[in-house]
Amino acid sequence: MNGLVRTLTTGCVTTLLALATPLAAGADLDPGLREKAQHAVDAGLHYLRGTQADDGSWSKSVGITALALRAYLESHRKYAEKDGAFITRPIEFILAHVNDDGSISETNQNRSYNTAVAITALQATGNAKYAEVIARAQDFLRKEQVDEGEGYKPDHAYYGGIGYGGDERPDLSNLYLAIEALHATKLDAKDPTWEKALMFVNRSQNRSESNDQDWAADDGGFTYMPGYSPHDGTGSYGGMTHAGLISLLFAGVDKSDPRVKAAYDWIRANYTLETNPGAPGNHGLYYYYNAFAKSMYAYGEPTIVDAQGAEHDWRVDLATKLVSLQGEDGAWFNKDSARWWENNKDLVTSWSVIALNLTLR
Amino acid sequence: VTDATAPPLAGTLAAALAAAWLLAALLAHTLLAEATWAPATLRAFTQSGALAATALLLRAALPPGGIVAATWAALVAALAAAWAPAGTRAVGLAVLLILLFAGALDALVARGGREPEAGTRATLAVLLLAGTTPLWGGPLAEQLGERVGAALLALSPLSLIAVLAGHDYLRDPWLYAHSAFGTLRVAYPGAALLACGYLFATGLLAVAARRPSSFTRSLTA
Repeated sequence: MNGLVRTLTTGCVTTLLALATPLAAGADLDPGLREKAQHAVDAGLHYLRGTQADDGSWSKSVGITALALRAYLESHRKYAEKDGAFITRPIEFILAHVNDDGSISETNQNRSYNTAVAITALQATGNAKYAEVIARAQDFLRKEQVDEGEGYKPDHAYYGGIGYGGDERPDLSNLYLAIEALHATKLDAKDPTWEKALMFVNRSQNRSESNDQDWAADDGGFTYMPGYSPHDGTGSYGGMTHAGLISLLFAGVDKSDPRVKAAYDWIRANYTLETNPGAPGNHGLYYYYNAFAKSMYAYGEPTIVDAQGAEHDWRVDLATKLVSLQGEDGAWFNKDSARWWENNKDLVTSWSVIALNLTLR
Repeated sequence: VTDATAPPLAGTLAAALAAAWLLAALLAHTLLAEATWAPATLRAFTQSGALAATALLLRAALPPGGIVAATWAALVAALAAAWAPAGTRAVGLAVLLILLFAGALDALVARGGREPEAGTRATLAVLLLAGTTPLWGGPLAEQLGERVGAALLALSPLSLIAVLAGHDYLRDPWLYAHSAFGTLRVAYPGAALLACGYLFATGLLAVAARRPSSFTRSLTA
């Protein structure tokens, strides 16, 4: 009888754990592709070791250093501070750029971006001694949010957004990174930052039922900021729609919410890894791959059915694509566009490794 | 650009002009501080425009000669006013450096008996060309790389205003929509480097403007 109870209990616990995990069964890559993806990660990290500066940084940028660090920490190698200076020095570099206002940045231009990715990486170390730096950076990001503090009222299109940090102009890209950072660092779910952020997120979605802006269309995708896309008018595109989906999910919106469903439907209707859909000239292609991996992982479904009814295992598709695009030196970069720094191998390699890491989980 | 024969009245005028300049600066600051219709960069440029217009109107309204020197002195005095808002001081300093540069260029082109309008036209053309580098230089920076982009960015007087005021104008919505600059990894020059560059260029132009031109030499030969 005890054995039966134990068996039933174990079975229930296993089932509950499986349900609690964001990944459904069958998420594993086949052994051959897994090995290729792991090899690609290793080669990417090897490339990054070669370009790391003596002070532990990459490209003399807090942002890129934080992304590269995160690529190491989240890899299948499970690198940690105990593994040596190649992990501890970038952390020291990041900490050396903590400013009085709590931001973490080497420049005024990208303070929000850098601060967000820096605390996401610090959190990934799992080291509690960075808690105070993270808490101060959270406060900085909350203050960067456009709200009454800057004289904006809730009916303004900018309200709730966060920009690069050198200006008040907010955008969904920077807001999503801040949301990701605040989610990773466990900002209180009742903090008003989330609600304000959702107002900006809503106003960046082409969904007139939840977007009070006149320009809003109804394809469910997201644009860069209310009323503006760098690619075409106010059109939706891949990178931002995945950023929008991540924002909704991390801000606490349920998968059954019509905003999430609309975004997911846009992704289904525009499913591809050949381009950043909606963006010409391959602009922002690797940003798209990175956001794609994070949103699909957060959404928690192993497969996605496109508008034509074809089922895709997103991990297989993304891992296959990234493996095929890796250079002989182990790096990735955008051959077609320098926009958003995608000609920088340190940055794009870090993004690609982070994306591959998610396909391997 | 300064006149050694400035009359004694210049000091009094300088004080009056300093007050006018500062009043304009404070007015622009107050009116624009809560203007949520414009991002911070646009506010900085609008304030810069108001200050520049004030300075130019004052100069145009006054007789030439020693007054010119007094005007520039007034600008310096106003900027030194400790109780001006920090943002206004920064913007004002940028405008001052640009006006000094423009004045020196104007003097150089107009020397040697050429009609005064020639200097004004050339100065405006140079400022327009340099000021719009973020627009026409975007494709060049995208193709030729970060160093070319940084050099083009440094040429624009708007960069001086932005750097001193601490604003990232390349990400301003309008410019972001019309130029690739905001999406490229192009760093602004340092504030001190840029300010020194303007002072150095102004000095060179001023020295050149005081030397006899070939046109003048041909008349006196």
